[in-house]
Amino acid sequence: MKFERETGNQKQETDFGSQTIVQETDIGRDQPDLHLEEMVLNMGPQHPSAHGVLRLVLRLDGEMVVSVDPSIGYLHRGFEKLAENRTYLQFFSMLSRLDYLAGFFMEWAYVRCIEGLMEIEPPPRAEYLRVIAGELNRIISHHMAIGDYLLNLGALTPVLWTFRDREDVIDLLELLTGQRMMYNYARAGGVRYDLPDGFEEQCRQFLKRFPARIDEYEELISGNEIFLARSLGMGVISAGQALDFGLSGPNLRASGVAMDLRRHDSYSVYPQLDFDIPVGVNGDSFDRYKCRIEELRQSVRIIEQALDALPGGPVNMRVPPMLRPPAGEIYRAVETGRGEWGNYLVSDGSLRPYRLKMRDSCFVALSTMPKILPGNKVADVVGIAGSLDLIMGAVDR
Amino acid sequence: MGEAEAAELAQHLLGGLATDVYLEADRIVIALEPGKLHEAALKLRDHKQLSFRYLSFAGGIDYKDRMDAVYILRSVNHPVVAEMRAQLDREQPVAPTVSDVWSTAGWHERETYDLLGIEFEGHPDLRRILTTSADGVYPLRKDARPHRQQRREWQFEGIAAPRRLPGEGDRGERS
Amino acid sequence: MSWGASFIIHLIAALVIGLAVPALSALVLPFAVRRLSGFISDRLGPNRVGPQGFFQPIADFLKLLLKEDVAPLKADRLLFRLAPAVAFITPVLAVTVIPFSKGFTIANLNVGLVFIVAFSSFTVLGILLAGWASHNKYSLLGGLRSVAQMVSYEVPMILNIIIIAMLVGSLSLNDVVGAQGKIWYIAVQPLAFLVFIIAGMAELNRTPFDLPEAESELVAGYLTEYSGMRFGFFYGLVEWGNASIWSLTGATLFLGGWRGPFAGSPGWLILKVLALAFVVIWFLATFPRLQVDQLMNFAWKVLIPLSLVNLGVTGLLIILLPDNFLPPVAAFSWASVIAIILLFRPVLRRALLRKRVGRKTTLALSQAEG
Repeated sequence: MKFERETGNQKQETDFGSQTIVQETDIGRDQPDLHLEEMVLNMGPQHPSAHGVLRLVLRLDGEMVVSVDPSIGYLHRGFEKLAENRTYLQFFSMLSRLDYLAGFFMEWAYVRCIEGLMEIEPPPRAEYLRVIAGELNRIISHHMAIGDYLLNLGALTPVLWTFRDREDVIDLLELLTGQRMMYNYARAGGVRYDLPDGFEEQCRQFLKRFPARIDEYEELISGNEIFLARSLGMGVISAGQALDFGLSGPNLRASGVAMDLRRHDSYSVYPQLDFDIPVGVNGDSFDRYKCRIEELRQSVRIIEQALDALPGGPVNMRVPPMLRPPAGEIYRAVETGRGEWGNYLVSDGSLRPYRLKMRDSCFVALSTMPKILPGNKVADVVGIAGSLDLIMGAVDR
Repeated sequence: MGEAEAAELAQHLLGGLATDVYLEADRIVIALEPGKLHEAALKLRDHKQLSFRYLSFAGGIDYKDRMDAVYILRSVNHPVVAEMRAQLDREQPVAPTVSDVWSTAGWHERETYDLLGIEFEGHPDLRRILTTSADGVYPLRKDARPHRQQRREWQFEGIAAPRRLPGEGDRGERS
Repeated sequence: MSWGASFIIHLIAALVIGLAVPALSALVLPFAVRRLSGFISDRLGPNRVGPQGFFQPIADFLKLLLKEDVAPLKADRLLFRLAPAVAFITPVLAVTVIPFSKGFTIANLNVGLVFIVAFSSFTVLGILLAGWASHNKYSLLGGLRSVAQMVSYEVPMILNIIIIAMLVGSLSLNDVVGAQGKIWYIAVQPLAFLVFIIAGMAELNRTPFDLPEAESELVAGYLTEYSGMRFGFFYGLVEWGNASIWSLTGATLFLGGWRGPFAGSPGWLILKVLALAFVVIWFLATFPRLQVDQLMNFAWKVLIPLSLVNLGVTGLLIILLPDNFLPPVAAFSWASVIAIILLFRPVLRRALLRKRVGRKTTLALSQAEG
């Protein structure tokens, strides 16, 4: 092909060459004659913006992405198999290692499954504490998502600003659960600890100053024309596509589908709390970013209401020390910072789960990449991956 | 629309396709023959009121004597979760793909194939996704012992095999 | 003094100054980057080694010296090792024509501006060599990006240097400083200064134009395979040396060189250089990175037409009013800068939002029940 182009005075051959090329890769290219040799680039598994250990096999035409094949499993630890070999209680401490940036949601989904099988309802105070822990967790998860997305686009400061405020929330979570990342806080029939002294005060102080910080991020990020040029109209997913792809969380809502499991499933005490669901129109990277920013604000509202409405009473109920849910099957999900995290739990009435299938939204978001990336530039591979907010710990399980 | 109503509607919609429709633990369970999965999936997705346009996941469960393919669907309009379930032959688990109905099923089916060995007929790209286990090894099957089956003999000529510590058994002997 | 002695003195002076400027900037500017970007991103930055962490770059330098010099097995060894040296030519040689104070220029070339422009291209060669010889796809992409980018941005850069040369009527840098006795050219040609800063960021591979070494997509671009002192060469001496060459050029062309309020001295020049370097660091800590096609569009569709118009109007005014052309040139330039500042944002936003369905950057809040 190359040879033909160099001796390009033979018209027929040149035409033939370009025609075959058009059939080969005709994505997003205006001038098929400018075809160059394709290059296969292994992005990852060790890569600065791989969000863990993600390997993308890119076929590039110059800077243009022709096809993407995500290759995952580098972080596969076999959680589903491990769950089958551990008692219900033993498995608690492993859950937050899945999506390690929003570990409490994994525990929450798991205890919801166990509670559903055992047909128990945790006391109301425990539900409120779960909501508080969950929303704090959502805040740090979105912090990471926003900061990392901007880091992928090459901006250094936003990630450090979000990490500064993330530290405050992590301190709060440490007060509440005793851990900074791997909380191990939820228990079947409630939560592990009651509120510690001074938590409410510290939390309210944080909630007071946090909205101003969100405005600060917006000034730095959304007001920047380079960011707008890099995010508006990038990686567009329409509403129909998003549903077809099975996206959830901010990725789905940015496409214009107002589906939030907190409303849709109305689990826990969310029906009693007043909050809005930000919904995008275009489904591009910008809307996904903006949805996360708005959800930060809504999380603040939720935590404030939860602190106000916090009822008294016990934080957990007496359950047998060796959990033995009756035989049955249940699917229950929670809305994490990244979308639907669902557990399908099959119990055979023994001490160990018979089967625990975990449904992860990052896995689904990653599966969309071969469909939305071709035609974009190499730089947008990391940009769009950042806007989809992938966590490989949850993808690989 | 509540779950009971939705279950009734689904029963009516699927008619003879479903062998059973019942409610269990906040979801509608629709039991099907494997051959009818695809048709039922299309009907459930395109029904105006039910509109199960969102597939949570497709997976499988190994019951030792049979293998079940499980599909969790979520209605877009109503807070209703449905489960399609088909019993497969455990020795030769084969199910039709639904990746043309919901394209998200593509990767979920790859994962199920990888971990449980269910073959999805008509899947465009059925490869292993999470593990690189040997052929015929499906880690999530109840009888799978990945450690045992992957043990290999020491192959390097001229280099002595590592000596075992006193009391250390063969790797295959451990569970 | 014989010709030979003069030659030797010049050679030694050139070597001393030419090596001292990049070396000093490699020691001072990384420190400034770390502390300033630390300040901007609300953290401390390195503050352990020496007072306020001032010796951190020296510690890094020692560490890099002690590290093993690794070359990839399949790399083109000769070119791989040659590349940092080739790139280092720019900061060493370009500094020789800069006037440091009255009568203190190592080589008072009458084509000093052309000399600087010519030698600043050596960096591109070094980077391309590094990208090609590393036998790494990231390096190759980085090297190619770098060439495309630097060649594109050299054009507006040169056009604006020509504008200054036209105002002065000479290509000698000494004359440029001499002509700024009454008024600095930043006040006469702010438009040229603006373009000079933007094109300079691209020439230096600095944010928002740091695509050749975009760490989030190309790992480290052309630097990916370099380690030890060869990396130090590129990262410290070449990049920061180039930054100070660019700052020196900018200070000489637009900020009056060594001139200052009390007496002209190299001290003023250094202050101005630091001020320009601060701009580089400020950008670095604030902006995200552009995309390749946006970068090219910006150069060829915005900067070059802008520079050409500026060049044409300035030339016309100089021909029409040969005796007193500074005030009208300044008036035109200031008017354009103000127009650009007022119009740039809304026009760009409209252009960006036009491709979307919802022409807003806000979201709807849904209270929809499930």
